[in-house]
This record gives sequence, structure tokens and C-alpha cells, in this order.
Amino acid sequence: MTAPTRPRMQRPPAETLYAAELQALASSDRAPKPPGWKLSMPAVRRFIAGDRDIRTKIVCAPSLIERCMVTLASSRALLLVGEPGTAKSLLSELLAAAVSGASTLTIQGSAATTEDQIKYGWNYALLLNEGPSPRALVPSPLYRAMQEGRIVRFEEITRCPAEVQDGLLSVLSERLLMVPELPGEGAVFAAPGFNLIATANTRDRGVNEMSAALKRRFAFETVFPIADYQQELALVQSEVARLLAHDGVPVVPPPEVLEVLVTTFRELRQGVDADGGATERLSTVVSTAEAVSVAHAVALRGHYLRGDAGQPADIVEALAGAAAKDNPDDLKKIRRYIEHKAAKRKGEHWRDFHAARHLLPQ
Amino acid sequence: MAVRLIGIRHHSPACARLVQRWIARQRPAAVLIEGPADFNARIGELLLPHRLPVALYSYANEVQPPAQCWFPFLDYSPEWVALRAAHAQGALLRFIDLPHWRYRARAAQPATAGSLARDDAGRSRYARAVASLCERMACDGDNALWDTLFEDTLDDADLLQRLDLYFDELRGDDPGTPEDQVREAAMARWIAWAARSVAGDVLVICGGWHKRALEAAWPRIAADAEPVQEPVETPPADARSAGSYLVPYAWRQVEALGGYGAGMQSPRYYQWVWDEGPQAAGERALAAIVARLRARQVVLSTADLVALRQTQAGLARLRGRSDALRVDLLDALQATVVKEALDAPAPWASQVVLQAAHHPVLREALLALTGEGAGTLAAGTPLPPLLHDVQQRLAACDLAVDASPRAVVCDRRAGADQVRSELLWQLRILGVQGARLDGTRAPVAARGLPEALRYEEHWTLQQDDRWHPDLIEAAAWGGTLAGAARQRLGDAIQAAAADLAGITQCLLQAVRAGLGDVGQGLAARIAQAIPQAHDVGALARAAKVLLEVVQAGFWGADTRPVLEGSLAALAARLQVLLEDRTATSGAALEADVAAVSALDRMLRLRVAGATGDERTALLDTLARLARSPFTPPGLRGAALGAAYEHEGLGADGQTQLLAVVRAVPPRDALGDFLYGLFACARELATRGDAIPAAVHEALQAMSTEDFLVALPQLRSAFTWFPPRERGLIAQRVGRLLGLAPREQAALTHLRGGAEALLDARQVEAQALAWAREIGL
Repeated sequence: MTAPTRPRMQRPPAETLYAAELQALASSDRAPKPPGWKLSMPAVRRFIAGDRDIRTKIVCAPSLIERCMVTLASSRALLLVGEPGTAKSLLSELLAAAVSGASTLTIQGSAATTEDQIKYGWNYALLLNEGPSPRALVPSPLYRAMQEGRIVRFEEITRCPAEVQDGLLSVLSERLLMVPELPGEGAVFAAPGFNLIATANTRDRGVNEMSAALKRRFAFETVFPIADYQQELALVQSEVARLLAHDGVPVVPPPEVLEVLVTTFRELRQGVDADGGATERLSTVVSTAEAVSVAHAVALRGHYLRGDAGQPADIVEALAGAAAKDNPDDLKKIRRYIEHKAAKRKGEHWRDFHAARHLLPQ
Repeated sequence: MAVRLIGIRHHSPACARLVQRWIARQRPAAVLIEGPADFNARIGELLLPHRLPVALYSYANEVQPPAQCWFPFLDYSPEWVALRAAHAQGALLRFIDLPHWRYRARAAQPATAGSLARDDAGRSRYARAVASLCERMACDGDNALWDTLFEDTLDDADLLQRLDLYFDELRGDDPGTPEDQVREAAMARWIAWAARSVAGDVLVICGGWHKRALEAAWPRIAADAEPVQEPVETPPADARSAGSYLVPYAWRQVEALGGYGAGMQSPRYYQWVWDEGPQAAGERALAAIVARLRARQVVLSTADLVALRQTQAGLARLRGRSDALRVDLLDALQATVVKEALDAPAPWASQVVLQAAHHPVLREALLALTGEGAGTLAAGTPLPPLLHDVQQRLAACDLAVDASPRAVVCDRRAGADQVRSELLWQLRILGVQGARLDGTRAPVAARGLPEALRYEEHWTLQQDDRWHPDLIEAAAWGGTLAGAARQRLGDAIQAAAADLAGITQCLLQAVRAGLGDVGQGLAARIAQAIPQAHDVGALARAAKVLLEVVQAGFWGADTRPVLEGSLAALAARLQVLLEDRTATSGAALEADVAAVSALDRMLRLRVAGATGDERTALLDTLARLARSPFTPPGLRGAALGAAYEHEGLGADGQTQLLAVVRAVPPRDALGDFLYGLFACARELATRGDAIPAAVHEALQAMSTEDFLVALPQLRSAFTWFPPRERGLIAQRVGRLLGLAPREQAALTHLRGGAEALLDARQVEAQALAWAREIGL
């Protein structure tokens, strides 16, 4: 395994962080590549899903990566949807880095995103001096991706107003961006390798509903929370240890506490308990990322307030804080979960967890 | 002489093809198949020209609960192919497994801690092996893995080598469950016998899981100096205690997505693969899916189909296949047709049963690959035991049937009739049209008994044209009437899903049919279905009906074991829904109050769900509802009443009770609140002075106008009291007002008699007429 190089950046992009891996993959890659791609599909899959020599960078179903790649090589764009905290953006970054060697061509969607930010803007000083010219034009990431035949990422696309989203229609179907202001050469034709990966949050469903015309041009791929309990537990464990080490806290939460936490989060998220019985699903986010931050908080609280590494009762309070954020109904669901499900679990830590139910606000 | 074992997966076309070609090429002298050895004498029945799917149904009634087992055959089941091919070549043909009824009966015995731990170890080894293979092959789960490794076009040598490696890896040195061990010991004895007594090659077709263990075991037995006898298994003399029969089977019963554990997903698809090869099967599957989706009004444009085929081809290429397989088609469908986020991962990615959470388009697409209809048995196949059982039981109850309709009246109160009635109900559950229920009555009951408790049943019994076909079809559910009815009822509950009225009916049928032992199984299924129910009223009605039957018992039968589990599930669901109540309307008021009344009754009867920890949780919930000012008033009152009656408010219950009653806004909420309170605890108004005094105080503080606004609700609150109790309340109010006994009497005395009533009626009619006139 090649050790990731660490440049002087808070968070280097994937192509920089894993430059050595990408380089090695490219040099040993013999499989045919889709036009404009830096790597072949099997190599992209290896880069993301990992194998003996390459680190696994994301925990997801292999078929998801395969479907995403096939879509990116087709004439349709890719839309990754899912709950917050399911690593959609990470997947899109890795795909972009592997396919076109650049993950930084990114448009951030928001209520304030305008068509200029999606297509192109102008350097107004030059525009006034010279009139519309290629020099005065300020290309958007999309513009550059089309020119260079790369992948462009569009984060949180459904946060944009529908009319702004619809600006993508001709780009995605004709693969053509008109610049009517430029005399003569006013059109950019997408070079081979160009495509778009958008991400959207299922919690935003209905905020800015996507038009049917645009939906048709996307393949929808749902990114699910980690399916396997052991994998999720291991991930939470390692991430919490990393965060605590970063903070200089010399403890890690005991395994039983993490078991209660991860089990509770999974069951409240999925609406199904380990025995297949139905529970209620929370409307608040209970992603793996959230589990990591709760576990972190539990350890900090234990370490600084009591001098231990965190107790099951701390989870109850953390849960109350996390749930009350969004929806008071969730508080009731958590209480019922503790009263009905946790009460039946065996073990000291589950008993402590159940006994602490009174810490939930009435 | 050589012995060769081929480990197969049941219902895998690739394995079936391998077996077929092997037998044609090697022409073994004997073919031994993992199947129930007691059926050897009748193996000819399997060689009749049946139209598949059919199943070999085995039963054992000597254990409780009775054990039963189905061994389905499809055209592409390796066992079936081996049977036919070996027979065609004149090879010696034997089933070598223990009779199903024997080991199923063992399996029905309660598991010990040790056996459970071994099961877990076996399962986790299997899971680990599959997970690591999936990771290596970039597959989502065991379905995709199996297709990738085995169902793709391969030559026989490659396939055999892969199968051997795969199953060796899965089994390792695992000794298997005790059940595996006895079965493998029996099978090894058969192989040893064949190896020593057959001149020529011996081929053994067994489940891949057993292969490694059998290969190790049989040479040890064969090496013994003692001669090995043919291990003949004879079925018990009494066909009613155990046996096996062929029954027609439906495609959906062999669908893994429908819950058949040993099956493959999409059986119809694999039939196409078997008949026409993977490429043609892919075409057919696509056509079937598109036809089904379009028939369900799913928009599927030509452009979508083009994209689908492109994606399918792309995925197949990426996965290194010559022809696209089922998983490629389905993955392509998911990528191109679904235009929204999914709530659950695609069903083919794991070993699951199709559920409501799965996307409807994906669900329909999979159903298109399941296949519809059922197989048929060839003429001359011996009749299933169910028919004999029904005949005998009817005769024993003096209920002989013939072609002309016969009216039968059963009185559940009489012991002899009870048996007859249960018998008829079991027939009815099986859908035998010849047993028709015309109605139930309770002729001399003083007050109207609830329908569920009516004791006189009027039946018509007739051996019509459908009598035999209905019973033969029902034979797929079991070999005895009770067993089949039990199985069928479980299925009906599953089909009823979230339809509570349907579920209640099923439960009442279980009670009437005397199937007292189905309780736990049904409760588990109901517990799965109930979380989808959102109608508090419907849940409360269902609970009420069931509680009546629990409270009264059913004419001497204890109904608790059947109904308690379901009541617990209902109680849990009701609590969830009630806690989420915020706004209210008339209908919700009735439903909420009925729901709390049901919970109150459960607390009183101490049924499951209202005992132990669950009782505490239920009382806590009620107390929370009662204390919260945001609870709708009717619900709040009812919860308060129930919590107070069952001492759920803590030590200072009385103080809290009064505090809550005083805190209710009199004009807008008091009426509804009291309606709820008195529904659950109307003794509060007659037992002591506190509540009447508090209400009286609130009323006195009201202006006349406010009082008129509140009056209709207040009146309905007091409808819970019979006249005598109203009198008692009036006396208390009289005392509160400081009236002399004579004045009190004057207040409660109905003046004017009949005349006044007539007057009142006239005034009411006039008021209603005016209301109509102004359009109210």
C-alpha cells in the first residue's frame, strides 16, 4: 500500500491525496478506457472499492460503483441521492478524481445559485473595454469541464431553484453550451469524457422538485447508509479514535458504549431491529457521521467531566440533543425505543441505557 | 467402480445442466439423490408426466407442533434432472436422505443453548466466506455472487472445479448442526452400500453443503469388514402419523423473494434460462418486465428502453460476462427507470423477502420474473392424505357429504357440536367451497352478543364439483385438515398485511376453528404488519373485538394463547399513534377514546403487552398523555382516567387527577375531556365528591354563553352513565348546592311524565327542521 502524501492543505482533494495510487493504477491499466477517461472502469472500481494493495475509500455496494461508472460513460448524467451523511459527496469526488483526474470542478448548489455560476460569467472591466470576447468570459466549472472533457460535480442540486436547474437541460442532452454573446464561435461542444455528477439530499425532497425533463437526463442512484453492522461499528470506532487523538484526549469510548450507540442509531434509522422486528424511524438524521460525532461527544464528556471514557447514559442525553434539533416527535420515538426495545436487551450497558431514559426531556 | 459426488445448489440451472451432461456422458450404474429415502418405493410417482412445479410434501403428526416440509421440483432442479436422466438410462435410482418427517420432527424440538451456538458458528462461517468472496468478485450479495461464479456460460470441468472449491470453502471443517450430522450419517451409509454392492460408477447428487462431509464419511463405513445392508426406510404403517405425497405447487411458492429459503430468486427467469439459454432468457425477462410495468401504468419510453439496454450491456461487459445475466438486467433497470430515491436497497442485492419498503417499480419487475400459476399432477398420481383425512374426520363427526346440499346447525355451547364446527371452520379456512357458512346467530341471548361470540352457526355442506379440486389444491398446505388450515391461515394473515379488519377476521377464524396453537406464529406475523397501520379507530375496533373474545373466552375455550401476542402488538402500535396525536376532530375523538378504552381493558385483563415492563411503559405513556397540555382533550381525559384507575400516576394520583381536571379550559375542552375521562373511569364521578365538585366549580365559573357552547360536549360526556348513576351524581350536586333533600328530589324528578317527553320531542323536531331550513 502506498502511504497517502500529505501536502500543506487542510483538506487536499482526492486526486492530490491519492496521487500515487492513481499513478500506479494508470501505469498498470491495460483494460480499454471509455473515451476521455484517465482510467479504465475496472481500475476506477479498484481505486474506490480497494483491494489488497489499495485502501478501501468508501463502504458501499460494489454494484453501486459499477452502475455509476456505466452511467458516466453513457449519455446520461449521474445523480447521487441519499440521506445526509451517507458519503455522497465523497463518492462523487472519488469518481471525478479517478475518471478525469480532477475533482475540483465543482458547483455548489444553494438557494442563491444563479445561471452565471453554472454556465459562464463576464469579467466586466474587460467586457466594457473589449466587448464580449473569449478573454472577457469567465468560464464556470461546467464550461471548463466541457472544454477539457472532464467530470463536473454539482453539489446539492435540489437546493437550486428549478429554473436554474433547468439551465442544464441543453448541456445534458445536446452536450452543447451556447454563448450567444460571442461573435462567430459562440458554442462549446463537450469534449469526450465530459459528464456531470450531481448530489441531492433526500431530506430536501420537495424543496425544489426537479423538473421531469431534467429527471429524464439523470440516472438516479441512491446511496444507502452502511448495510453491515460490523463494518459500521468498525468505522465509528476508527473515526472516533482519530478525532480523539486529534484533540489529544487519551481515552476511547468502551466497546459496549459504541455497541449501544451504533445499534441504537441503526435501528432508529432503518426502522427494523436486529431480530427483524419493526421499530420507528427517526425523521432526524442518524447517519454514521452523526454516530461518530455523538461518540466523540460522549468520550469528551466522560473524560473531562468524570474522568472515564463515556457511559451509556451519555448517549441518551446526546440523542435527546440530536433529536430535539429537528423534530419534537423524534423525542417520543427515542423514548419509546428505549422503553420498549432497549428494555429487552441483555447486558449491563443496555440496562444502564434503559435506566437513563429519565434524562430525556419530558 | 468409482463414486463421484456432485454438490449442487437446489434449483440452479447451471448445476442441472452439469448433472444432465454428466449422466449422459459417464452413464453411471447408480444415481443417489439427496431426497427422502422412505419415498424410494414410490419413486415411480415422480416419473409420471407432471407439469412442474410440483412438490413432495412430507408430514409428521407425532410431534407437537406437527412437522411438515415441502421439497419442490422445477424443470431445472438438479435432483429432478438427475431422476429423469438416470431413469432413462436404466440406472439404479435411490433417494438417500432421512425421511423429511423424521428430521423435521427433530428440528421441531426446542433448541438447546449449545445447538444455537453451533448454528451461529455455522452461519457466521458461511457469512464470512460469502462476504470475502463477494468482496473479491465485486458482488453485492450471494445471489449476484452465485450468478457470477456459476450461472455464466462455463464448460463442465470449470464449473465442477468451481463448485467443489466454493462448497469446500463454505463448509470447511464445520461439523454442521445435529440435524446435518444425522442426515449425513444416513446418506454416507447409503453411499457405502452402493459403492460395495453396485457394479459400475456411482453418482451422488447432494446439496453442496453436505458434499465435503459425505466424501469424508462414506469411505470409513465402506472400509468396515462387515457387509453394508441397504438402509431401507419404511414409512410408518399409519399414514396419518407421517408420510409424503406429491402436491401441485405454485411458482410464487418457490420464489426466494416470497420466503422460500432454499430457492433462487426469480424462478420463472431461470426456467427461461433452462429452456432457451441466458441470452433468450434476458430478452424474455425484459419483455415480461416491460409488459408488466406498462400494464401497471408505469411510463417507460423508448428512450428509457434504449438507455436500459445500453446500461445492461455496459454492466455485463464491465463484469466480464459473455451474456447479460439477471442481475445485470435488474441493475440496469434500477439505474434507468427509477427516478427518485429508494427507501431500501434493491431486493435482489440480498436475501430478503419483498416488502412494502421496496420501490414499487422494482417490486413489480421482480414479480414479472416469479411466474404465475401452478403446476399440475399427472393423472393417476395417488391422492394426497388431506383428502383421506377430511373424509375420515367428517365421517367421525357424522357429517357425511354427498352431492346434494345438507344444512348443518352447530351450537358452540354443546361439546359434540364444537368438534363439528371446528372441522367446518377448518374447511372454510382452506377455501373449500362445499363448506359454506350461511350465518351466525345467538337466538336466546338476553342482550345482543358481540358477533364474535355468537354461538349458533348455520352451515351448508355439499360435495360439489369443486370439492376434490379444492382439497387437492389445499393439500399443498398440509396433510391433515388442521395442519393445512393452520398453514393457510398464516398465509392469509401475511396477505392481509396492514388490513386490520382482515387480520381480526383471521384471528377469530383461528379461535372458531380451534387452532389454539397458532397464536405465537400469527402474533409474529401480525407484529410485522401492524406498524403499517395508521388508523387509530381501526386499531381500536380490532382490539375491542379481540378483547371481548379474550374476556369472555369462546364458549369454554381459552382464547388467550391465540390472541395475546396480537393484542400486545396492537397495544404497542396504539401507544405510538396516540403519542403523536396533536389536533383533534370528532372522528378522532371517538377513535382516541376507544383506543384508550381498549388499552384500559388490556390493563384490567392483564393480557400480554400490559404486564411487566410493558405495563410500566404503557402506564408511563398514559400518564404523559394525561399530563401534557398539548394532548387533545378527549384523549387526555381518557388517558387520565385509565392511568389513575391503574395507579399509573404515582403516589399522589388523586392530587394530580384533580389538578389536571381543574386545568382543563372549561368552555372549549371540558366536555371532550370528560367524555374521555368517563369512558375509562366513570366511577370517579359516583365514588367520591372530588370530581363532581371540580366539574361543578368549573361550570359555575362559566358565563351562560360559554355554558351553551360547552353544553353539547358536556351532554355527550354524561351519556356514559346509566340513569341510576346520573341520579347519584345529581344527589352529589344537590349537596354541593346545599339543597334540602326535598329540593333535591324535585330537581331529579321527571315532571309531566309522558306528556313532557312528547313536548320535548316536538321541540326537538322543530329545532331540527329550522336547522335544516338554514342549511345546517
